[in-house]
Amino acid sequence: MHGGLPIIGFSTLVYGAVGLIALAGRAINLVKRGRRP
Amino acid sequence: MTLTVTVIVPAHNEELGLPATLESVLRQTVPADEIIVIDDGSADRTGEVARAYGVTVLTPPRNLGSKAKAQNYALPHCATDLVLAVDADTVLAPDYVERIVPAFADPAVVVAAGSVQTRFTRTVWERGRSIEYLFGFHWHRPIQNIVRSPVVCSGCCSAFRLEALVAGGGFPERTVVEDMDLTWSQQIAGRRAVYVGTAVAWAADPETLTYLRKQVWRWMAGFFQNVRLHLARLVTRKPLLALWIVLAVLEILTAPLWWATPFVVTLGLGRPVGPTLAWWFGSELALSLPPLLYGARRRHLPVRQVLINLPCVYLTKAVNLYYAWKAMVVELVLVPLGRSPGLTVYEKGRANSPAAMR
Repeated sequence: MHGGLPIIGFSTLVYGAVGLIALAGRAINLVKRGRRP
Repeated sequence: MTLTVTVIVPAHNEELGLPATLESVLRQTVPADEIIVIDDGSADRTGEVARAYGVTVLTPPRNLGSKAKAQNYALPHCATDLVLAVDADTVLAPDYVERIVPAFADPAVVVAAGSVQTRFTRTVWERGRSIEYLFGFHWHRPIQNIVRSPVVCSGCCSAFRLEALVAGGGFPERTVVEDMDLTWSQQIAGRRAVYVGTAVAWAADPETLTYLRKQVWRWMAGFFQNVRLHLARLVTRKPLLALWIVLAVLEILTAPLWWATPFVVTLGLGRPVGPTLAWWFGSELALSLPPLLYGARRRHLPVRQVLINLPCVYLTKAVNLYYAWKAMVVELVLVPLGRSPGLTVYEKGRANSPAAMR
């Protein structure tokens, strides 16, 4: 079983939104870490 | 610290597929410490073929009835840190072990698997499946991994931390898809499952509709068995994993409406066929093409080949949808009502059509 078989596409958009939020969160964390003395 | 690895290969009537699998395991850049083939009640020369490669062959007294049971039969013979379960029709990239083992540097990681591609694209069913994989492993799975909630570590090429596997009772035998069951239950228990996109395996997917129907029925029934077993705990303990599952169920529920839309709009509302099909297929392509093109680029696949295979995915999607609905009704409605035992028999289609591996 490999999962994630897309049948129609609306989940594609939800995945994209979650992925973007997660990546943005990571980027903010990296910036915060970089500012720490 | 270097982690040791045992490769286990459950095999039932796999004399034709096994050589390519074992050759790929033996050619690893980081060799496995032990290779075990479980010759699970084969009527062909599976055991003989395996022995010719110098690997350990275990022969249960009778066919054990499922992949999980065959894999569990091998567990007492494993004495390494990790166990890599490989299907007897799957071929690993030469650096698969090298790529997958570092995922276990984090002690919370108990299961990891790489990206799966189709080995053959001879028939429309294999071509459709190749598109499903290209999409799933270059959109769904990486995003699930970014937020630490993969839906499944593919059973055809998953590595497990032996200690955690044994502590959890081995490979689960209560559903017909042990890989998803294990991936969900380990994450519910607070451990990690990881997708390693750089590790690649090629699986031999169904080449006929008969085999595809059996496989998809088992996958879908297994998916809903896991929904029945785990969804309530997932919602509280692993909400993002629950979100992916709810999304999948919503897609299954709404797909007939979406697929009926062009017919309703043209035949029912009398709108022109051309523009209707243009926006319907246009939105389908807008949602699917970007991940597919990214996947093609990442895996060095010709874009032309991907575009040629793309229409075939509607055939496999139709099969997926039919069996998803059947599985949903059987496993979520009839089983709880006591009207059906659900799918309990593990049947692997290719065992009945070995010529396909030639």
